[in-house]
Amino acid sequence: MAFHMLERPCPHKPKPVFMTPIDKSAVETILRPLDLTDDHYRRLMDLMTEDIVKGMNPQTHPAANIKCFPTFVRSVPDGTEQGDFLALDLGGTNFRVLLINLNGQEVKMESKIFIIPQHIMLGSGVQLFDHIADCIFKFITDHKLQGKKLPLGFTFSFPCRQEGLDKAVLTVWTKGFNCEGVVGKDVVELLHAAFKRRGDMPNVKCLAVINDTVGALISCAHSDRQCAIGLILGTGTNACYIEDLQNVKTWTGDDGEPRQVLINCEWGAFGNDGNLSFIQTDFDKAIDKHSINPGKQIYEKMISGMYMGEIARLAIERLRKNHLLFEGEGSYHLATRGRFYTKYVSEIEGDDVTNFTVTRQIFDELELTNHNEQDYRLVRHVCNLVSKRAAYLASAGIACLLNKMNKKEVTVGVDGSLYRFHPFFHDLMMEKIQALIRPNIRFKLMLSHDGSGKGAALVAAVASKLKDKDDRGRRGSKV
Amino acid sequence: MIRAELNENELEALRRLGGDPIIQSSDFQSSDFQSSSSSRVNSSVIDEAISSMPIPDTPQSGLTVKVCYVGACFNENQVKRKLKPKFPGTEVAGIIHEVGNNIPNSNYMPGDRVIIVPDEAIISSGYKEYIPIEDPSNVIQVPQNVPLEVAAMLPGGALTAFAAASCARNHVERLQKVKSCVNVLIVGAGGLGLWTIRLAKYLLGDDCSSVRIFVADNSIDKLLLAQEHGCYDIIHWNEEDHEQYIHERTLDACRGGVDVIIDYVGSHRSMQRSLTVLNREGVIIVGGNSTADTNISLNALAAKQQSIVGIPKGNVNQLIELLNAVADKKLEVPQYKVVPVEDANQVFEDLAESRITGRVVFKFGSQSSEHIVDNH
Repeated sequence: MAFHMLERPCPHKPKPVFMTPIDKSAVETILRPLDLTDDHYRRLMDLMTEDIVKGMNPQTHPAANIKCFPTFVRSVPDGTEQGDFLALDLGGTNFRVLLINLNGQEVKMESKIFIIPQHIMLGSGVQLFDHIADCIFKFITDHKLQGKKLPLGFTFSFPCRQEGLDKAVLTVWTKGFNCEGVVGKDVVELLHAAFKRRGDMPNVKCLAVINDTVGALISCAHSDRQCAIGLILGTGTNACYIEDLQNVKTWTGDDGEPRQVLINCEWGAFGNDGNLSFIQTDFDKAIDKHSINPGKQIYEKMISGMYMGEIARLAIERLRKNHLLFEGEGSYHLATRGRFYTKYVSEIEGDDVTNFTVTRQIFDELELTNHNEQDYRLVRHVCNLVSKRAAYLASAGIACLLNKMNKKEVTVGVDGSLYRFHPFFHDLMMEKIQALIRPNIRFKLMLSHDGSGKGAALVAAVASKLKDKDDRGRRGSKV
Repeated sequence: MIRAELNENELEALRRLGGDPIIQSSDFQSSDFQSSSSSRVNSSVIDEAISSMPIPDTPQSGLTVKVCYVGACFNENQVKRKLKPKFPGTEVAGIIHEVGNNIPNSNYMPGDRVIIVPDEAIISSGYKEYIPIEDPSNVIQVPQNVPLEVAAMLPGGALTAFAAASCARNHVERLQKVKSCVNVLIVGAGGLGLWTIRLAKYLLGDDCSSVRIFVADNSIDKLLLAQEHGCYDIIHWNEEDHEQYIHERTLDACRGGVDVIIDYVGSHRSMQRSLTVLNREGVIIVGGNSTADTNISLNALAAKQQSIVGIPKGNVNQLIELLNAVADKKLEVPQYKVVPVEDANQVFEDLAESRITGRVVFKFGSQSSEHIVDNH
């Protein structure tokens, strides 16, 4: 059987969820909390709008959930970006170094993935940045770039407080990292310190540090100038958008043109103060309790890839324990936290509904021995509910931003495995955003592939241009 | 708990090897019995290890091998298939203990260091300290400069990897006539994968502008070890990631696609991934440790002129070639550690849980039975 993901869901008449006599009401009782209404989503949007305003107000910012950090990126690319740039992409166990050549609309990329071993993820900050510098050096050597001046853009996808285009202070580690000596420090400085320790990379300088949402926005804007929102739907979830400077009461930068700045929402933390308890299910609470950061990233835990499989697993296990699935017979794997991979949700929902070949295969992998067609349909239904809720929750967030910005036409640049590989995510979001936004707004959802590479290079290009202008200005004033 | 199927006699023998005091049995018979003191003068004095297992009679036209090292071979696929580890398995090395009176040629002498050519009759025969060999051509003498624990690994994993790598070489050479760079992907960074990296270098040379060796595995630790063994690059096939992501990552690393794949894992997913990234005229070489069947589109296979080939069984000539290559230092041996055979159960459990990187070889007679210390 080939795991070919369908480009579009195949047109078929949806089969009924319930076949043989089964206690429908028992199933519905267990699963109903996952099925939210438009009222829920509208209430969420109102709460989110309030929280965003709190994030951008200096008095309420320290206690705000949605921090809305200004990114110091003021504009999207204008198409004149030129030259060779290095980009770094650090957001998980795979760290990428990229060489990007920009020539107007044309972008050429070469990259290499380096693995970050666990002991470095949990070791010292010095070790981490030494390892990163080492990987960059290997890449430069392999590509014979030793003598070349290489401005570098750094996509650093962890929550940061930005103090300048090339200054980002880590506020907290996420995604399994925990290097000591980095929180509270400027990561660009730490990177440059590693370069200095080696002494063999004098031509590499980091001009800009961004996060993956900014990369998604910038990269999408390169081909679609109406892009004003960047959205990540992957292992985690986050969004950034273009905000007018007058609304950013926390702004500490200059007041010149353009009077706008990209805001990194860090919206994963929405709900940290408990204001999402009206939609949290038992499954969400269980996941939160057993997570590495209980009480944090509540909104993210209901949406992103890191948790989606687990939500489905908990629902499936509850059904099973009530003898509504597999005649009550489970397996060691199904009972193991984290073992129902999020990709199963995508694969099951993309499965052929006549034969359920992929679903059966997954049950085999989980070593479930007792399953029939009723089980396949019901598990598919669970996956539908979980992914639909995630898509709609993300849609409510986007609708909130679109309404706040109130621009007539906006493109949303999206990246991340959930959006890219789930068969229905795009369509679900299109439908739901449309239902929740003001009628005068028109929007598009566009895949922004490789924002972390291309986006970082573009921002470095802009920074490089600004720096040159700055240098020329200073030289001019000396005369 | 994984058991190496040791019975009571065998467990008794292991305990004695561990240094427990010896209880003599009156119906014990051995052709090579030596007494030892029943108590130790002090803890640093080592008795000669005595086995409760009778030494078997030496076949008239054959010989008896005293087992010194046995390679530990077990993996999570075998657990999934509900198989127990084979003991002593295919990797046995030792010293000739005695030669039969009617042995056809006089090339074999007691004290010779030898490896045993894998034989169905021996593979699952359980814990044995002496193995009778009917046909002396089923043992091969080990060159002096090859450590016996290294030689032990050759008839098993190394030979399988050699057969796979030789098969791969044919295809690589065919493709080198039309391509400037051939990419070879090894799926599975366990013992077999590590041997394959080393053997690929031995058979294909070290020029990574024309042949590149990649290794994929779920375990980052194993991948890092594979990188130390000199492959061109490693690719993390993280089971949690979406399949398309894994395809992208693989094609990103293997520029120009993958031409030859050696799959030691053989799971449904690993085969599907392999089929997705394989180039036209590419070949997938599969081992025999699969846990599940997979589907293959015959039309796609034909359209892309691809092939799927089972690893041929290694032969004695290849085994001799391996011994000589190690002796001549043309073939580097992968990382391994030697562990007392008393720890066998724990090692098999660790292997089943993928907790071990590199190879493990069991040493028999951990109290160094080659030395006799008389403490009277």
